Amino acid sequence: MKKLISASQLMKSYKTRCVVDHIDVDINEGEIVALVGTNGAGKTTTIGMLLGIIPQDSGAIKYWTSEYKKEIGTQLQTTPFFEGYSVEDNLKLFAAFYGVSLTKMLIDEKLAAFDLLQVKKMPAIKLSLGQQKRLAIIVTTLHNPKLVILDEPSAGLDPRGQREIQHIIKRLKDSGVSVLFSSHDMLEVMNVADRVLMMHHGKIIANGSPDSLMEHYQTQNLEELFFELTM
Amino acid sequence: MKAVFVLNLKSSIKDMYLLFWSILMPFAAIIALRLFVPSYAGNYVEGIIAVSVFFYSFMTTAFIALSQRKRGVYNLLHATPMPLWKYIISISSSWAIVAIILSYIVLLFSIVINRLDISFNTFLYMTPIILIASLSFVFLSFFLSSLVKNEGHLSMTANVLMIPMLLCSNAFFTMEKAPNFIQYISLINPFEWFLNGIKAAFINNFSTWGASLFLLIGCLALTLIISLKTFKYSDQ
Repeated sequence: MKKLISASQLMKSYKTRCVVDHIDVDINEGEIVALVGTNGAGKTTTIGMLLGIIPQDSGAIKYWTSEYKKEIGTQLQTTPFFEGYSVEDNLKLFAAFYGVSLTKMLIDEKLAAFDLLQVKKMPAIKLSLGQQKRLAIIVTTLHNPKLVILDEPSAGLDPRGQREIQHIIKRLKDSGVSVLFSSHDMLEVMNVADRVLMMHHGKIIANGSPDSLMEHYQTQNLEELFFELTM
Repeated sequence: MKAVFVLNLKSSIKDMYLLFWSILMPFAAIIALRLFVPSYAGNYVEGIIAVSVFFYSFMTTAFIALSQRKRGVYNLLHATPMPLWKYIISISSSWAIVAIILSYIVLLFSIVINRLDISFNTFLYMTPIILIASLSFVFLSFFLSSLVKNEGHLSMTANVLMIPMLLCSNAFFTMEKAPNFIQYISLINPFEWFLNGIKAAFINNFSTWGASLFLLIGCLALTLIISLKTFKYSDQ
C-alpha cells in the first residue's frame, strides 16, 4: 500500500510541556485512520503538524507529493468560516484558496448532497453546529483531494449528526479518498476506522485495526482497551 | 487572487454598519463645520477625507483581521496552498477600493454642501494617493492585529499609533506654530504624506503630489514586508 504520509519521531512542546512525544505516524492510501485519545492527548497538535500549520520541534514528515497542500482537505476542530460571507461565498473563497473555480451548478450539487442547499445564502457563521460540520467537510473536498484530515468531525453533534458524519467518512473512502480523523467516540471509531492510533500523554500507545487490537489485548471493545492501556 | 478580491469586496460593501459610520461621521463633520465655521468649512475637506480613509483602512480592517484570526480561519488558510502574500494583497486591494469609494462619496457631499469648485483632475490625482495610502494603512493594520491578543488591546494599541499620527499632521491644526520636534515627527509621518498628497491634488500642485506619492510607495513596500513577516495565523 502506498504511503501518503510518513512521519517519524515527531515531537512538539509548548514551553516545558511536551504535548507530542516522539511519535511515528503513517497514513496509507485508501485507509480510514482514527486518531483516538482524551482531551490534551496531543491529537490536534499531531494533526496540525501533519498539515504543516504547526511546526514540529523535531522529527520529519514525508509526503507522497511535494505539493501536498493541494492534495489534502482539512477540517479543523473549530470549523472556522469567514465572517460576513454567506455559505456560498465561503465555498467560493476556499475553492479560490485551492485554485479551483466553482460553477453555480457545482455549488448547488455539493450543498444538496450535504442537505445544505436551503441555507446557501445564509451567513456561514450563523449555521447550526451540525450544518457547520457538514459545510466544513464540503470545504475539505472542494479540490478533490487524495487525503482528508478531519479534527473531531462529530464532536458536539447529536446521535443523528454523528451518524451522518460516519456515513460521510465512509462515502469519502468509497470515492477513493483516504481519511485521517480524530475522535473521542470509540463506537464511532469501531464503525468507521480501518486502523486506530491511540494517543495518551503525547505518545502512541496502540496502532492497528480495531479487531486486531481487541484480539491482541483480549478486550471486548475499544473503550475497554483504551481504559486498560491508560490506567 | 481575483476571486478572493471580488468576494472580499462584495462582503465589505455589504457591511452596512461599518460603511454607515465611515460615511456618517465625515458627513456630520462637514455639516457641523458648515454650520459653525462656514468661512473655513471648505478648507477642512482634505483633512476629513484623509481621516475617514485612515480610520477605515487602519482601524476597521485591524478589527476584521483580528476577528478572523480568533475565529481560526487563518489557520485553515495556512493549510491551503494559497500563498500569504496573494491573500493579503487580494483582500487589502478590495478594502482600498472601498476606501476610494468612501472618499469620493465624502468629497461629493462636501462639494454639494460647501459649493466647492473641484476639477476632474482633483479626482484623477487623488485616486492613486488614496489607493497607495489605504493599502499601506491596511498592511499596517495586519501588523497591528498580529501584535495584540484581543479587541481591548487592539483598541488601545490603535489609539497609541493613530492619535500621534493625526496630531502630528496638518489635518486640523497647522504645523507651522508647532514645536520643532513635532514638526520633525510630521516629516516622517505617513499620514502627513497622505494628507499632503490629497491637498496637492486639490490645488494641482504636481511636485508636492509626486513627492507624496513617492514617499507613500516607499511606505507601501515597507508595510507590506512588515505585514508578511509578522502575520499570525493563530494565537498559539
